[in-house]
Amino acid sequence: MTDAFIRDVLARISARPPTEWNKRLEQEFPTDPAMRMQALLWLHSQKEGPEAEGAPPSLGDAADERYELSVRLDSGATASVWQAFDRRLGRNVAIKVFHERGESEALDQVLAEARAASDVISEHVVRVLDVQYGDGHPYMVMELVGEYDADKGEVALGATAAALSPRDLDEVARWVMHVARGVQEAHLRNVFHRDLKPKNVLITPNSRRARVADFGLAVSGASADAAHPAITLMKRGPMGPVSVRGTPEYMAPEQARGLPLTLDARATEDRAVLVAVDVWGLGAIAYELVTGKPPWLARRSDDLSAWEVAASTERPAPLDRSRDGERVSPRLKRIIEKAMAIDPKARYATAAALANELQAFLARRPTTLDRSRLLRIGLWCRRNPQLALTVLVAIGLTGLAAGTHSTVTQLRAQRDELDREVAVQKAEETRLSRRVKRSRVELDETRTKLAAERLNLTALEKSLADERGSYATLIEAKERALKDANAATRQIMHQLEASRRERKAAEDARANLEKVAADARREGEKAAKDRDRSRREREASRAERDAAQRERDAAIAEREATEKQLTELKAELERLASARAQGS
Amino acid sequence: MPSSKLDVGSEPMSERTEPSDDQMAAQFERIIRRVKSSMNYRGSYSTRDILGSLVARWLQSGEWERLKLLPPADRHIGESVRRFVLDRLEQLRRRGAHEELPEDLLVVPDEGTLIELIDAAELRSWIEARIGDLERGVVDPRVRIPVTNAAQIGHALRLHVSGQTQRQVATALGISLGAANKRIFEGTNYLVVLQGIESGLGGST
Repeated sequence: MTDAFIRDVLARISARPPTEWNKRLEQEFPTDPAMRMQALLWLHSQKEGPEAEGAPPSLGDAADERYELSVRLDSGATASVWQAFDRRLGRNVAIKVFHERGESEALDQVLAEARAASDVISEHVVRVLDVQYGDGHPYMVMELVGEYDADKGEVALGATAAALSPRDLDEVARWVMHVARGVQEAHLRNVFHRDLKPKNVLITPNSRRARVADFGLAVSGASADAAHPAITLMKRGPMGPVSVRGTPEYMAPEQARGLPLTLDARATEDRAVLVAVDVWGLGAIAYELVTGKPPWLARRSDDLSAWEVAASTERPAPLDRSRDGERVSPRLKRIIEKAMAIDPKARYATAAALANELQAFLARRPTTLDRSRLLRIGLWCRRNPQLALTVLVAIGLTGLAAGTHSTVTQLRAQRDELDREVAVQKAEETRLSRRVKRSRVELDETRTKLAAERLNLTALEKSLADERGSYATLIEAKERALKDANAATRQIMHQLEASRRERKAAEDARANLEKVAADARREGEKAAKDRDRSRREREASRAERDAAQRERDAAIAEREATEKQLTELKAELERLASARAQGS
Repeated sequence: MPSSKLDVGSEPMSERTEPSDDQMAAQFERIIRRVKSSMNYRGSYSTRDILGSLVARWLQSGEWERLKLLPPADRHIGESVRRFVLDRLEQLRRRGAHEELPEDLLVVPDEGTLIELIDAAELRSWIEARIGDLERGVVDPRVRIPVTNAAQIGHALRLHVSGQTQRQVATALGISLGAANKRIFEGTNYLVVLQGIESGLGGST
């Protein structure tokens, strides 16, 4: 059975309805049940579920009639998102199709997400249009984030912020501001996202505006965790039973450690907890868009998952450089760091407060964190360049007038000062000329002394030259003597070396002799041993011979005794025979 | 091999009563769903996922292999997992400046749920290992459905299970979207068939 044959069979059978598969396989592989079983599994796997990139999943008869699914936009653990065309209304939509079908937990999730998202109306939130679950996979119809491209004559689709690179830090601030406005709208409707991350932010293709999507983990007044409790991980902790939900790489520290199951989105205190989680999420989006990395990453070196790093209350890596290696504006850095403060109370109190800060940053207005007066003046100048220039010119002119008066006064003072310095200089000049005269006299005296010294020095040099000549002769004689001594030393050294060689040869000869003597001694010992051994052998053979002689003597004696007995016996027999003859 | 959830057992089919078509279809669906849902990347976590990841760590610690040698009544899986998770949380608690992590009782789910989590963790680790085999060009000889270019399929599956979309997989491998889809598709089918064999379906001639 070749591979090509098996492929051909599978291709042909997969085109038939599933009810016929078993029968067809029995015809193709009648004696091979294992092959039939593998082929059946393969065929079922091929047709099953939307995970495979084959035909789109079925939404049920009515929905399949209405919606034409075309391109899969995304896929996750629980659902995949498809671009679809709504035939009834003639528009493009996005449809989130859940993998599970007909299970109450999955349906609850679909409904909860749809309710949460549909309750929020904002230009920065992707709108939910419909939700259905029937005989097919549960699904949710959403607005398709896209814009009409007049040049191409078609709709250009948006992309997630995770898949795009922001053009600059201003764009990061703008996107996060948009998302924060959308999140604020959600908060006003008691809907808290809890899973904010770049992947859940969609960017329109042309106007590059950000919109928040995927309220799959949202908590709202209508659907708290307590209604669908997750597994209780911890009990009797500081907050009672908690649940952990979110994406580990972006979780707020308190979210990673677990939020109370009983959070009520309408209660003031619980709202603050949920708002803080979303504000962290907004900061986390900004963090990744700036640095290109999420705040928490799994660390292989410590064997820690991203969730464990988040839960251990470490701090994210400092936000110093952007993904392009540029220095991050300290103003934006301060805003992001405040949004991502480890202590929830130290974060912005609302998403709107964060949005306002980002708006101020973009408008070059001071934020609540810009306290430096110089920075504020600088920002004001950047915002009002013409006014700033006018003020600068006015300040300049005023300064010029004031400066002229001040300069004249200063010049007069300098002139008086110079007059005083000239008088002092003249007095000093007189004093110096007197010192010069005195120095000249002293110089003449010194010259006379020097001439006398030079004469003495010449005589000294002459006597030194004479001494140098006699010393040279002496040194020459000493050098000759030294050379002779060296030659004699070398000769002695040669003699020593020769005698050393002779002594060595004598030692070697003695060693050889000793070795020969030792060999001879060993030979002699060996010969003595051989002699002893042959003597012992001779003695042994002699002993054996003596023993044999003794045995022979004994045998002769025995034979003689026996012969004697025989002789006696014969005599007795003869005697008996004669007696018998006499008797008869 | 992870087949504790499957009631198929490990006997060859020829030694058992032939199941009905419906039973067979149900078994197929279960195997296919388990494999495919294990291959899906989990972006957003629930508490169950977190606990699942801790159970996976517990599994790696070798404790499960030890417990499997004991009679079921003596295993006390819940207690073992609970102790392990508490130790892990304690380690985390010591890392941070805060002291807010719970020190008190830890409630783990009932044994049935834990078995599900263990089963899922085992399956996930099995899938990772089989993808590794494919990446090295190794195809299980028991699988008789032909698999061509195993290494390429393995690379595509690796990216797929790490959360990349088909489009990203295609870009990363420098191939067309259609080719990426085909590789992921073929690889998934191979894993389903192999998991079926591990569960006692179609493993012998």
